[in-house]
Amino acid sequence: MISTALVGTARTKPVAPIGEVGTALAGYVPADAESALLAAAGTLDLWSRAGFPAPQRETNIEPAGVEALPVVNATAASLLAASLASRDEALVVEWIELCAAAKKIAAPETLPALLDFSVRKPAHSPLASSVGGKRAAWLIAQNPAWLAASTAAEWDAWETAARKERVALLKALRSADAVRARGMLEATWESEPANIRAEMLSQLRTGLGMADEPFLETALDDRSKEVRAASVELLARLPESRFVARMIERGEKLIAVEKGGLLRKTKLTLNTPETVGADLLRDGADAKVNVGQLKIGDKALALLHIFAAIPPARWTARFEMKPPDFLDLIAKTEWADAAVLGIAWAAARSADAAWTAALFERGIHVRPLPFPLHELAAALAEPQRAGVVDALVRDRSGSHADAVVDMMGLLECFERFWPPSLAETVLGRLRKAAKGAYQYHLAYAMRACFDRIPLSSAESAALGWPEDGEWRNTLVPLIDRLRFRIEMKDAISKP
Amino acid sequence: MECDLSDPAFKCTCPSRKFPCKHGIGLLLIFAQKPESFKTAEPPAWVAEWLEKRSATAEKKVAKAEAAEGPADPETEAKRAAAREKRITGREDNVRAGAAELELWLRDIVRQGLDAVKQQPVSYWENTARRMVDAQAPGLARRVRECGSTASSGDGWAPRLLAQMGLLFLLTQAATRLEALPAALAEDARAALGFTTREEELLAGPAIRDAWQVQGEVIEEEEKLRVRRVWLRGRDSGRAALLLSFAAGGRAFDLSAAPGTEFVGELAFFPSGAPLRAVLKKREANQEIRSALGFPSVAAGLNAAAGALALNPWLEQFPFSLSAALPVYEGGRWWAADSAGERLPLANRFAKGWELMAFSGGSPVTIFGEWDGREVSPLSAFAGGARFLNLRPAMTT
Repeated sequence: MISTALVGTARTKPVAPIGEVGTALAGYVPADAESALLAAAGTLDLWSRAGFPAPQRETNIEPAGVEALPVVNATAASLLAASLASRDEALVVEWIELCAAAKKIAAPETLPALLDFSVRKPAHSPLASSVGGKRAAWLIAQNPAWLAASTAAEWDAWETAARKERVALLKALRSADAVRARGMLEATWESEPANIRAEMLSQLRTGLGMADEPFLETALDDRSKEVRAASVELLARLPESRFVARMIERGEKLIAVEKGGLLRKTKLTLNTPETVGADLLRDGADAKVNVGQLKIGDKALALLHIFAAIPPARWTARFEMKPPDFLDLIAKTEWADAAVLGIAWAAARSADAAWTAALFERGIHVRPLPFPLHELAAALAEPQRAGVVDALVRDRSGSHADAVVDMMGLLECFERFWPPSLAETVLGRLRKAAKGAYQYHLAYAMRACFDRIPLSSAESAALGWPEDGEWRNTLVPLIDRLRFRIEMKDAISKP
Repeated sequence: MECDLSDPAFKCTCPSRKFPCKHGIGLLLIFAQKPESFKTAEPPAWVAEWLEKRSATAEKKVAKAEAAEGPADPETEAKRAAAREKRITGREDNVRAGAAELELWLRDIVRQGLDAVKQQPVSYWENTARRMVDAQAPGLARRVRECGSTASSGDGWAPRLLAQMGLLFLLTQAATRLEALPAALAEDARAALGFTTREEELLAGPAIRDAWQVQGEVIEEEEKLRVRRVWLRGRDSGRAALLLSFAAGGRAFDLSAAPGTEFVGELAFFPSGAPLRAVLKKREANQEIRSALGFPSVAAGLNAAAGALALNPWLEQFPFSLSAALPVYEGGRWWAADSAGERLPLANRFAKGWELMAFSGGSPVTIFGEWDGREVSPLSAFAGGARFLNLRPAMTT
């Protein structure tokens, strides 16, 4: 019948319907072949739709286990669905954390999207599974596609991924298995172009350990200046490395302390290296990195790099001096700038909280030197860090807008959310800035700031903004998002 | 600002031209999220007055419908009847002429072969559809447009198109001999052609009172018109019902009867061999569905569907609710299996299979969807503990 219809009754003769359809049409006298075909087609369709042959097969699905934890309510479920649909990673993560903290699990129908999220963002996969309950494990067993998030697939990708992707991939692989990832890098090392080599080498920062030292030491002889600098940066973070040992040896020759007594003040003398020889150059003593716009001679630069590689705790131990006192003495020497800058870098690299605190106490952040403020602040523990950053933001002179924009680097050293007191300080300055004219770079900073407001401050953070004016378009979505987070918290906490 | 939750209905003193206004929506949202901040009280005078007016209007509507049917002055009644008769005959003549033209057009396609029309542009179908609209047969127009999209639907288009054209041909045959058909079949043919029955007439007639479960809804776009289908099933009568509503342009739907709820009310059914479409005559208490109604097996549901199709051959969707069903993914598609292992294929374009699977967790649920004789387009699922999952697809065009 179909073939007749395709070709047309003008060229072929239709076959008369048989069976039940034929019987049904027995009383119908068609006007022509076309009518006969159409009537038969219509009747056949009705006949087949009325008599659908449902297949019968065994279904052997083990039902999912009974959950031990309660499921969130419908409102909470829809908020998760909305966050997942809008691909707002931070919101999804916060939802999961709130849910896990409330000792609840996600609604079953939201699990497929949540598992998709885990596959897309493997870093959050353990977190997501904490609210999946038994239903999520059961679903993964039903749909192997959700198993694909395992790292096995990523190891294979190393062979095939594009260069830029491989840099990101290396970081992920390092956190999974540092030794194996370095081995893979070494295997292809020689064939990578210099700029990619430097970028890849920097990724070894993830999972860095003494096992990496021999490879890093050989990288000091690399043809590329960038690769050598990257290697120095990592070796300086390994206090047991041969590189650090060499620097300590050099550094201790440059500094002498004459201990004071009852009537005598302690005296500190500081010299630059007499010559910058080949061995110093191999260890990166001429690199114009970490100095910013600072005008500095070759020997002072070498001094800076030497100090930057020596864990500052070494000075505390060697001269039996507290960090602030040592800094005060250094400040009186001719090479104060280079030395303090070097010490600051060393404190950042060894994440030394005591030295960092001392550096901030001595006001490095108000000096026009390229201090690694961001890294230093990251080295501090809470609540000290919040206190330091809080004071910096509060006391920063100049316009409110500039204060916030200038401090963004420092403000971003917090893992995720700011401590409430710091949030309050930043918001205070932002509210005042929002009374002024619209500035593109401040709008940008404002968005970054709102992402860091902790949930406990969200309620008050949503208030006190101008009702209209140039900032309205920027602020409305930010405030809405805060409200969404509050709603999330409320919904998850309710039964 | 006042709100009646039963419909819902709104009244506000603000001059907004949008309806409902933002105050009404806001009040309702607060009520939905923080019901604890409301307390029950005697309505103040202005609210009571409004509520009274509302129920009076509702009564008037029914009364008007009854009055329209009831005996008036015999002379005007006769005049009115004659005018209506003339209007209906005029339209019937138009539809009959349109159907005859369409029949000729269909026969012509089959004579040339389907392969020839496959290459035709959209306008080829659109022109004929417009002629059917001119002939006051919107039902024919819609089916012609559907044929057009089938012709370009890829794999397996030919048998699908031939089946659609066959049914359309049968409808044209029915249109030219409406008087000769049995009364119920003629009514279904008229409905399929696009004749409308006045709702007032229905409201004046008998109605069925039951606790109606709202099992699912779907919203589709048809020619700048959005159509909402709401499927109900009565707890005592076991009858299925379809509420159709339309919204043109950006206008809002009447969104009462939310899926997953049930209400006690009276429905008046359109005349049909297998009555499904109905209008709401009266509605009372609203609550969540506690245990969903459904066919006990695939076979029972298919039997009922076949029975309905035998009585109304132009029935396009049959409300199929399968109790104790398991969603299964096998052979690249989704199925709903009953406790005996008999299964129905779920629609190919159904995109929420894994949500449904996760919802069931491998335990039987009630799956509701529209059955077209080949596959089910799922619209909702119910599980124990009054859990409801809306599977309504994103709006389709």
